[in-house]
Amino acid sequence: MIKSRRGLVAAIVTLACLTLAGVTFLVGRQPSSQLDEELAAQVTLILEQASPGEHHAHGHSFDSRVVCAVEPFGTEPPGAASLVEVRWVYARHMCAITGESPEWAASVRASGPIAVKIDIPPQVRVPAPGAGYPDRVRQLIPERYHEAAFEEFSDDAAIEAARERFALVSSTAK
Amino acid sequence: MRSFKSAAITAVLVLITTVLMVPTQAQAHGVSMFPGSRTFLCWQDGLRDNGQILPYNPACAAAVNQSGTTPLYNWFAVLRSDGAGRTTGFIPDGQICSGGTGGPYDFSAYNAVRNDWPLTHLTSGATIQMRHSNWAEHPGSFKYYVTKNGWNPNGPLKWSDLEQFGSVTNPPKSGGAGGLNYYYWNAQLPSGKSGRHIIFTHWIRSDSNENFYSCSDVVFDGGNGQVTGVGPGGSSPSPDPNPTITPTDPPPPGACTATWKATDTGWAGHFQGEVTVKNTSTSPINGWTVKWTYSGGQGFEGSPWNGVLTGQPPNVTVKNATHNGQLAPNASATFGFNATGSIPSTAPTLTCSSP
Repeated sequence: MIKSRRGLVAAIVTLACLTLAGVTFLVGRQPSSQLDEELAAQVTLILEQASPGEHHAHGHSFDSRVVCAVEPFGTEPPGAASLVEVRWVYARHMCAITGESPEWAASVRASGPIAVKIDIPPQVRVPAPGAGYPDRVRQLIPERYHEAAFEEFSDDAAIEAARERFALVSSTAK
Repeated sequence: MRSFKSAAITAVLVLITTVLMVPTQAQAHGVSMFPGSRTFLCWQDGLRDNGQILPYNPACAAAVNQSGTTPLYNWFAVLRSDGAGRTTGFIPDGQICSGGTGGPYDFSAYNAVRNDWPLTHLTSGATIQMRHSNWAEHPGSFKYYVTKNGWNPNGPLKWSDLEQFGSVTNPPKSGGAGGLNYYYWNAQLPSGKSGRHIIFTHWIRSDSNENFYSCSDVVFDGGNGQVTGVGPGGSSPSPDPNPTITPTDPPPPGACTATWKATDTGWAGHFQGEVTVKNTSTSPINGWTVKWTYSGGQGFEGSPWNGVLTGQPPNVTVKNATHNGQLAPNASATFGFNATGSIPSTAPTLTCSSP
């Protein structure tokens, strides 16, 4: 009887532990995807704002803008759980220039993995395209993210959002 | 205003390259669109509807793996700001297709010696309309070359491999800068050519030292400008399980029918068309003409094969080629084409007449 009662208690404790582990896991996951979203928004802002500021500094004014899609795939430190902890964001990006061509697909752009330091001012590092590009990517991105660095956008949502903003900016710029 | 906008776009490009990428300058732009240069056709090959570049063609994929997608998004920028019309001694042999390595983007991956680059099929001695992107517009001249008979396609392209077959100065343009418009002119291809060759176009600005370089892989095989090696399936687009086949209304006696078939190649913004002409009369016909009107902005990518395009979209007219104009009663001929745009939701109404 005692044995079986002990067994019952053990079973209940095990079950409780499992449930707790599950909940902890889910709770742990939640901030991570939320963090990704926050980082994506932050980096998008950095990329899109860098250009007009720099441009105005050269004394021009123009109706073209840079519109970016960003998908983070890593951080420094690697286990960062909230925005304030993040020093570097590793992300794939695709930036397009609004201009005479109102078509998203035909627009001029830059794309690939980048590293962005969340700082004041932020730093954006982009591996130079051209011969030797994969090596430069591997130098910039920590080894733990090398596989992810060469992957394409996993989700169309970021691109779709950029595409919509591109259409909006293109139509209002005319 | 246009030049202002171009300047603005250029400024942003400079900005992107300087702030976000490499400390270089992009100024003006253009490469050959027909016959399509390596960068133009690779861009077409890899560009997906959502704007990502994911190449299908293995040569294009290798180039993207080696250099990233950013150069290919700037397919029109195979240039040197210090070109000044120079050829041999300035651009090294083996680097002709990238204009060396001193441009704003490094296109050296596109010098690779391979036999699977996108290919344009042409006929030796025929007259073609050459088209050169005017992404940015400039006065200047175009000198065009083809590889000599006996050149080695399995070795790096050398200046001594090329012979010039024409030039043009300040040709007309199809539309404004900043898009897919182009300068165009007619050129007679040299006779006596067969098999694989490269057509090299050198655009030399007259208002600055900036020059542009285009290598177009072609094969002289009797083709009419069809392009292979781009998009899913490359040279043999995968057949559509549900092709749209719409016969035209019964024709008056003594004429012909034309049947439309559009195949979705799985490549967004492109499709392949095929029209079958049948002699439904009781006597032979000598020559046929098929007409239709596009309503959705569709266009041709290259020239139709087994037919001759004589009326441009949206009001399309295609006449028989020399070899398939004579049709006995009940006999049929088929011409095909690569098209840009979406498959018309309702097949266009085709009219067929003879001749």
